[in-house]
Amino acid sequence: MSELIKVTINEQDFEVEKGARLIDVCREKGFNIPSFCYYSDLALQASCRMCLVRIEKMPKLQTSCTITCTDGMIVTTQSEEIEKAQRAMSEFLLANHPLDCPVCDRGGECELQEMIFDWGDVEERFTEKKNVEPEKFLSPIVANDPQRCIVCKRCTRVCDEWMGEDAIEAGNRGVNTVIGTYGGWLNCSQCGNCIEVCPTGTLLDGVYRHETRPWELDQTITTDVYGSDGMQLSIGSRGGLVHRIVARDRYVNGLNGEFLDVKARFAHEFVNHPDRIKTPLIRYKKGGKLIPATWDEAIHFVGQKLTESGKNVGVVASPRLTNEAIFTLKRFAKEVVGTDNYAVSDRYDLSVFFDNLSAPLATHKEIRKAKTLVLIGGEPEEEQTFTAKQMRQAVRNDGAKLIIVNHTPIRLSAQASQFIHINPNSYDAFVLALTDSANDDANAKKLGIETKDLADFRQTLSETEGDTVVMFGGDLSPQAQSVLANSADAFDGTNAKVLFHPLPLYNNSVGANDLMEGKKSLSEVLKNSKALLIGGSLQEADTNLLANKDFIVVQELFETETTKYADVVLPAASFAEVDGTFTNNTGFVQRVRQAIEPVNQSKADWMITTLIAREMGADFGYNFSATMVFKAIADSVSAYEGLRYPALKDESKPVQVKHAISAKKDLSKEFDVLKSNVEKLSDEANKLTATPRVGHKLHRLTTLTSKTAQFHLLAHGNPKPENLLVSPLVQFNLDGTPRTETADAAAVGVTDRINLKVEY
Amino acid sequence: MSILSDVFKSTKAVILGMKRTLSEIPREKWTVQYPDVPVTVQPRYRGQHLLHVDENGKEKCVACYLCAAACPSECIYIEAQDDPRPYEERVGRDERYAKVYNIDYGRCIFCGFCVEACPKDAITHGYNFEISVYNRADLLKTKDDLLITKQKQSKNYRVALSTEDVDSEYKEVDSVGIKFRL
Amino acid sequence: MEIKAIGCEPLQLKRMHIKDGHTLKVYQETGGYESLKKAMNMSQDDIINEVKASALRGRGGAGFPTGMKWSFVPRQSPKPKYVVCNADESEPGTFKDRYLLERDPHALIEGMLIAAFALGAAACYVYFRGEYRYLIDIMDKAIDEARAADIVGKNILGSDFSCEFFTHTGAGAYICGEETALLSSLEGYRGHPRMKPPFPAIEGLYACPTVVNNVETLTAVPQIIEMGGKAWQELGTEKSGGTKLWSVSGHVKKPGVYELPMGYKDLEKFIMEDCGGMLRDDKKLKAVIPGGSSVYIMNAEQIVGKGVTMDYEGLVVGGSMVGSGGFIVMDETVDVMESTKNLTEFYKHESCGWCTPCREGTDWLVKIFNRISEGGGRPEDAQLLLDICDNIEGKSFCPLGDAAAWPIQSAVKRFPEDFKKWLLNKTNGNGVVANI
Repeated sequence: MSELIKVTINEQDFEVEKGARLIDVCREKGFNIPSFCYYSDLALQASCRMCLVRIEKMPKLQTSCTITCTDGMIVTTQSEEIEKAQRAMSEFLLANHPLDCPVCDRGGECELQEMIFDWGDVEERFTEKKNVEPEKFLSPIVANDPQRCIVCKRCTRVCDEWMGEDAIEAGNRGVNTVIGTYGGWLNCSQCGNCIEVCPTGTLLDGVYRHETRPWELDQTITTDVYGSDGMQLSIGSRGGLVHRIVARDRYVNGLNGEFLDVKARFAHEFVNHPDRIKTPLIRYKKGGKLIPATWDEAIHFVGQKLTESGKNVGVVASPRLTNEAIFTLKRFAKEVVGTDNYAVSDRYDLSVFFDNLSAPLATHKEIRKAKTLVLIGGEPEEEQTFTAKQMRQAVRNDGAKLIIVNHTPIRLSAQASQFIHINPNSYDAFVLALTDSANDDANAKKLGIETKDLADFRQTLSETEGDTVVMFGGDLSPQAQSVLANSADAFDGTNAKVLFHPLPLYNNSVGANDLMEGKKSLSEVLKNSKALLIGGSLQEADTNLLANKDFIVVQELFETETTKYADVVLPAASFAEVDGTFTNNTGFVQRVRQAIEPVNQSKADWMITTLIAREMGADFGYNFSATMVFKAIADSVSAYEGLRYPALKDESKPVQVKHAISAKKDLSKEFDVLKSNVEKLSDEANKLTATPRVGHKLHRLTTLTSKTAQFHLLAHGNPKPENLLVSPLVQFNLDGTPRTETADAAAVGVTDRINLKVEY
Repeated sequence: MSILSDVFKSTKAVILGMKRTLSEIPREKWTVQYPDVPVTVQPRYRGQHLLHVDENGKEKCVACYLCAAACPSECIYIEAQDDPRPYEERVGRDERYAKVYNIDYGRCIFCGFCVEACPKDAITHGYNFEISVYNRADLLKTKDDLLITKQKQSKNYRVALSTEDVDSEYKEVDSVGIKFRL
Repeated sequence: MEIKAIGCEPLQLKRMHIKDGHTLKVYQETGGYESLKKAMNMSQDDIINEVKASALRGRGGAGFPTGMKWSFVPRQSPKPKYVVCNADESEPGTFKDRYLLERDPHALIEGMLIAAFALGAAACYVYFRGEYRYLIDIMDKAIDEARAADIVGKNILGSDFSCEFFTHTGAGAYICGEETALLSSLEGYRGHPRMKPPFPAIEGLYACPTVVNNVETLTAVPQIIEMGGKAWQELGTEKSGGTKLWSVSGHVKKPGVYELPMGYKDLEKFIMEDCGGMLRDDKKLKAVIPGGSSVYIMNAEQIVGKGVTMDYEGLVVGGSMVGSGGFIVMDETVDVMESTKNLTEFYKHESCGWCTPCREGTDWLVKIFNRISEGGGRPEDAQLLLDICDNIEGKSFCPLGDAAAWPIQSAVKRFPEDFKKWLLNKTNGNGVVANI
């Protein structure tokens, strides 16, 4: 804690931390100060001039967003003079702002509108003709109406500081200033954060365009279903349809504030997709067709067949499912079937990480405040977007040191204070080098780097004063992961706390690992069992192992590669239709809440499993309530002990599960494997020099990046990739041919609006 | 008391009583032979709603949902739709229009808040009050029933006693010589 | 075109009429670079104290004491320090720096070198306005000459002191004359003003301590070193030392650049005698903008017989400001509404768009002026103009908002007749009123 100083605001004395920003202090103490351009944790702008306050001994009204509190400061936030100034600013902002609120999608949640309504009686003296500027689309998912812009430049700052992409910038000068791209369509990962932070209707969601009004939507706070960061978001639904997804909350910062990535924000159309499986499907004859059936019939059929198979039933859970569903599947294996044949169909096995974990997990806040960040392998910008944003801000805003060890120059390496560009497949050698400084020369040679790089790396670590966060993902070998996770001491600085951050791929990879204690590998389970109960599809590459099984039950949303082998397909509900929890990569257990009723005849995954179990004579005692399932988890899994849904209610104070921290282990066996792996490496390797682009082809429908196989069901793009393709490099037309037009020509908005005789 | 004075008194009473009746006989008749004769109503009468169109026949409604928000009985249901086509090809006047516009007359209380809330003067109360139906479900009127172009063709369409037709601007109606007698 | 000193020896204008005054040879023959040699034998504090004693005030417009500005620079800071010359002379009515740059570039080099020496700066930048491109050639040539003579570059005049010179051109934005916007532009960003504090003296160019001075301020420095600060100050008044250049334009017989000692008496005499009087003898003086377009406009009553002295304090008493010394004289043929409209259009065009009041306010003002000039004036417009100006003034991000508001405020208040004519009389659509 830094020292406290005295500040007088509106004749009341307050003690505040030294160096606190005046606008934050005033708002915290309950004095409302309007502002548009101020956004905490972004570069200061001070251009909207709404937050003017009177500070004694200063000649003019001051913008409170640029003032840091000093001792004895006397501030007035409400007076006739200030109100006149603020009214004047809103009058200026409205001067050229079209009053087309009825058409504007932001109407109802527009900060400008709110402010003018707060004044209540703003007299419009501007009687001249308003400047007009045609509407356009900056990309198929970002609509832009330049007339509504108040040039607060939140979007440009967010694009630069959060995403590091600089795709959007203000053009022209003075009153003609417009937000636009550098020619052509938005050349970026289409994260849509510019839409989120826009206070007016200048940048709007092109997918949700003119669909409904915000007050008509039921807002359900829930957790992201794609990335492992567990970003908090709000589903806007109306009448059983998911219309849009926005970040958790505009003002109360949850885990991720207003940050979301392209998948979390736009990829929700699968929920109400017409291709969703509508009823249970049964394949009565091998090689036959899947035929719709009733739930009773299907459950009875499944129960009968699984009972016949006895103990030869294997259970596979997808890491996209809720904790409740995964736990129920495990209970099914243990209690109903009585087998140890259960597995998680994750791409990477996280157990090697958690079994050897020698330091606590870092939270995203700790990543933001860390002094040194070490990233070994992985591509967080693609796969853990929020982590990547926190890393970038830690480096840019707080001067943290970022050390990246990677075989490709990923885009984040531009931010790195040290980028160790190693040869492909040589991570094992780096792990060896890290734990053993004696053989630097030999290891450096294998890695294709200078010996000095390793010395520099160690020096940076030892000089760190503050937290060190070590991140690595499943692209390292299991042995390398075990050794890294177990060697927190190797990263010790002088005054440092070492924290680990795994880089799993799926929204609930960590939860699946926690709950499936004693799980076997997927191939083992598939080999050992004759019948299978699969929650969610398998990775596409694994599906050929499903051939020649006696009986396969799949709980799925869509027909996938896995359901081709299935004898019974049961329609599962998506994340928007169920209650439950996900565990993210920082160990936070976060609620998933039901936004809409399950579409068609689908049911929650855990409910389906429970029904099958009941058919087979076992009662889990859930009473068809997700709360009871979670209680069962809390009672039987030590890391989740004592948790209940009410404890998870407040998203701004997430609950971290207690992962066991193991002592230093004897890992000589792993070291042997690493050494033999390293010996096999050739000294002559070609380095990869091309920077991989983030977000290759974006499908309009679910806007998934093809590079990340996220859901099994969406593993190869999306169910119907016939829609518009957008790529940062090339834009495609509907028929797949690349676009060549420039931004103006590509604008699919309404260009004749100027000619339209409508009084706004 | 003589019989004569009784006769006189009662005759006087009858004449006095009949005076009102007799004086009304030559006057203009106020009774309307409804339903044999169609009625007209006061200009500010709140009947079934009208959805208006502009001079080119484009719907004025931009589906801003303000009428639905203002409605105290929640009888209005709207689904908006994006319409990026040029003006000539559009359904509505603006690039956003109501794909679905339903009013449930089983719930509507004819309070007129929706008309007040409308920023585009797209919805007004018309003069049709004959909305009784045999089936409760039929009280749900869709956009087709409410559009002025459709209602004009209906036999139920009626106007106030006024020199102006309602589908010219409603507001002007009460300023231009309205007769308050029927 | 007159270029001469009145009431004092020509100091700034010393080499204006000397042939090849811009060459190093002539410069040195006329006493050039002696001050630099003298300064390099002085301590850094002594130089700054001399400049403080001279009461030299920034000639760019704000009139901030130069010595004070220099003393704010943390000379102990490990960061490199920079001296930047603001040659972005874009103020309407001002053209003094152009002659200094064209005919006496070495004086600027010398002044900047003295400043760089006093502050321990490693590099000097000269930021020209985009339209002064041809002056860059002259400047570059002068720098090359000086470099060949060991005056610029490494080990200047055989000492340990090294200082590199760079010239840079803007792209035609008025805002880049504002010092922080100039620094943004110099760094390669959009010419947007930056937040103060931190002031450039602490965090300026590339976040290093930087001094930004006008051309005329810097060319005065060699004279101060040569004469001594006290002697230079005594040319002028106590608070405004030395001499000042005035760029006179408008309806006078002899427009040009005049060097006057500070505290020159008086304004009326200057117009009527030194500048040769009104252009047309039968037309009376109507208005004067004494310090470039961004200051209050003065009407004849404020000048005639009032004895306004021409220095920072005197002009404030007189109802205006020195500004950058762009002296615009208007006779009674001028319609102040139209001239103000013209100025407002300039400010609208040059508004950078950063902050709300300047961006939207100037646009609104121009729209009102356009409406008035098309004959759509309304009586309440005068109050509206004043209100808008009041809302811009003091609330904008940089001083340019104030600069846009002041001329209009003063014009409406001091020339009510000119506005009444437009606002009260209904005119035809072609903007023709009962005009003069």
